[in-house]
Amino acid sequence: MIEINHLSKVFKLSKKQQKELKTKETTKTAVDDLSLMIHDGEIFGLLGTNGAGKTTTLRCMATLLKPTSGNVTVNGFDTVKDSENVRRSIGFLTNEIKLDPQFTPDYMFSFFGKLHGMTQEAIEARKEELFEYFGITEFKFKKIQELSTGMKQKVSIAVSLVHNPEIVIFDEPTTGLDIITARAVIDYLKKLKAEGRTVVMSTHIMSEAQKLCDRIAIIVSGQLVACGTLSELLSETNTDDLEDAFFEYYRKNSREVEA
Amino acid sequence: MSGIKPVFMKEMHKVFKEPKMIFSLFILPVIISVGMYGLIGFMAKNMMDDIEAHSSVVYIQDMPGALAPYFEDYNAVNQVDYVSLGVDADEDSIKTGIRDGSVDLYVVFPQNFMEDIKSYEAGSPIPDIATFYNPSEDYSKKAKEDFEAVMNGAFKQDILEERLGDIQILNVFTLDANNPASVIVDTNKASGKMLAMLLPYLITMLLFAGTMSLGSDAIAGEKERGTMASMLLTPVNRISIALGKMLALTVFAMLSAAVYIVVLLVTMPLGIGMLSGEGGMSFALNVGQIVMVAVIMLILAFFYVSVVSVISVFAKDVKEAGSYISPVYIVVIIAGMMTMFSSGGHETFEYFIPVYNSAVALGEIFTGELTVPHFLMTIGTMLVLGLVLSKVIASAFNSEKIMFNS
Repeated sequence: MIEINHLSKVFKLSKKQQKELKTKETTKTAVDDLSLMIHDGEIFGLLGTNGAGKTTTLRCMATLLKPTSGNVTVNGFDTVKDSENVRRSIGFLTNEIKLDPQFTPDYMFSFFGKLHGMTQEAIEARKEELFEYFGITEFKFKKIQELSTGMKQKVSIAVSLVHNPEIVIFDEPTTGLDIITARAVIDYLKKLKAEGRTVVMSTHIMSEAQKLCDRIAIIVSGQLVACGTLSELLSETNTDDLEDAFFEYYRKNSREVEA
Repeated sequence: MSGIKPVFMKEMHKVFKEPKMIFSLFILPVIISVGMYGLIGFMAKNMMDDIEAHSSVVYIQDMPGALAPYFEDYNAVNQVDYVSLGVDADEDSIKTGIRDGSVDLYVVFPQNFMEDIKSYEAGSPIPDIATFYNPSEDYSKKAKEDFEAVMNGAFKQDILEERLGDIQILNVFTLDANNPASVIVDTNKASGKMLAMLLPYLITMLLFAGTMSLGSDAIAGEKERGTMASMLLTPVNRISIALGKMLALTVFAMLSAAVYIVVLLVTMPLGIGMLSGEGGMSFALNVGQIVMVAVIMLILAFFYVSVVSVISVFAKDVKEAGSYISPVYIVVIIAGMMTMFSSGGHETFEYFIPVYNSAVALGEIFTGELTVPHFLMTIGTMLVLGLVLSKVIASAFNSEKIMFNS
């Protein structure tokens, strides 16, 4: 279970960043007083536009960022005070975190297995299972730098799951993937749910969230504007599909935020 | 601490499984050193051979006939074209020839040279021979030296014998003519002198050079590429990640410096030996000295790694790290160079100055002068500073601001 209590994350802006963002503000609030509860065994979707604060929220869950205020607990462990235990129970995937290009998928998988304290036999068994599932076996001895974007993403997913984590946090897992690979990833997330794992994912793709997620949270400008099952969101906005519901929430709340 | 080993092994793997890295770390130094010193030696030898082979052009005005036999003997070996000139020689064109290198030497004997020598009495003026040459031309310099050798050699000796009957009359006494054991010296220390001057500088500099490129890539490079974050997501504590990387870098710095030093020691005498005609650069170290050298190198490498890592961890990318590391490299070079030109004993406080103390201590190991307290002060200072910096690095690994440039 993941519990987010009044999470806020404020970044200081450097002069260069101020120039890029064309602002005189010295800080930027990426996440603003966000509270959420993610239950065991569900697939939870985080929807939002670019810069809405999805990745920052996920990074706070994954212990990579410390909350400016509020706190996050994962399986009862605080992400700041007990970060090593949190990292033990999660698998985290995001676009900005990459694997060393000069190594092979085979080496990287074993390397991260060792960092998670797994035995060689356990690593090999898990490697066979995941490499087979994602079709990595045939290029497992190729250098990562020689792989296509889709192949790299498959390897990143496999590596993030090496220690068979109880909670899987995926930041836009299907971005840049072809339709076949994206389908394989989606199917794997369903498989994880079937095995009782908890999955948290952020996405831009509404159809994906609609089909996959048990519950969905919508974030606009760092604030949580809605959270519920698909049918709850649809009935609340009086819409027929998630895309329309999202626009409805966005239209209403971006105005409020700006005002 | 269980994460140290995989991180260490990964860094090792990165270098040893990559032909490019092996080439630039271990093979390139060999090629550069052998090439450089081989070339210096080859060029120097070539130059000397060329000077030897050159047939000198020497114009001599009013050469007395009595001198001819002396020069004939000499010329047979040294290939000199002597051109005897009469009184009406065109002095200006010969001097122009010397300036442009087409003539090597112009000698003007005073008139009645032999007569003046023969009729010499105490107090009468000594005849003076005028020579014109160009010291910036190797051929000209050589011709002048050859001419002097002939005149000061057999010719002068014959004249003196003629005058004095017994030439020994000029020698009031001799010094060590019958004392072959005159030189009393610790041969190790004496031959170590040259290396004591050069090696500490080379070791301090090369160890840093080895650390520099790999260190900035291993930390700043991984930050930049986003591969560091994937390691920070594992439950391994971050001190282990920092130490694993630092240990690997220390090993690389040691290996790379060792390759350089061995290659330099083998190839440098080759080049310098050809240049000076001497090869005497060898000396022996006892086991204790070898251990001390190894310990100092190891701790110095560790200290360098911690300095480079601190810089790399705070830099945003490899480029920024490089621009901060370069000035440090210059300081290291200066510290090493200072020991090359300092002589005699060192004050105690000098053994507390990082890097400089190691260069001084290395120099003193080669000349057998390093005391145990000074050795301990040196390694103690470096070790403590290295550990303090490691702690800073480990804390930086925990800082999201530093690790994610946020």
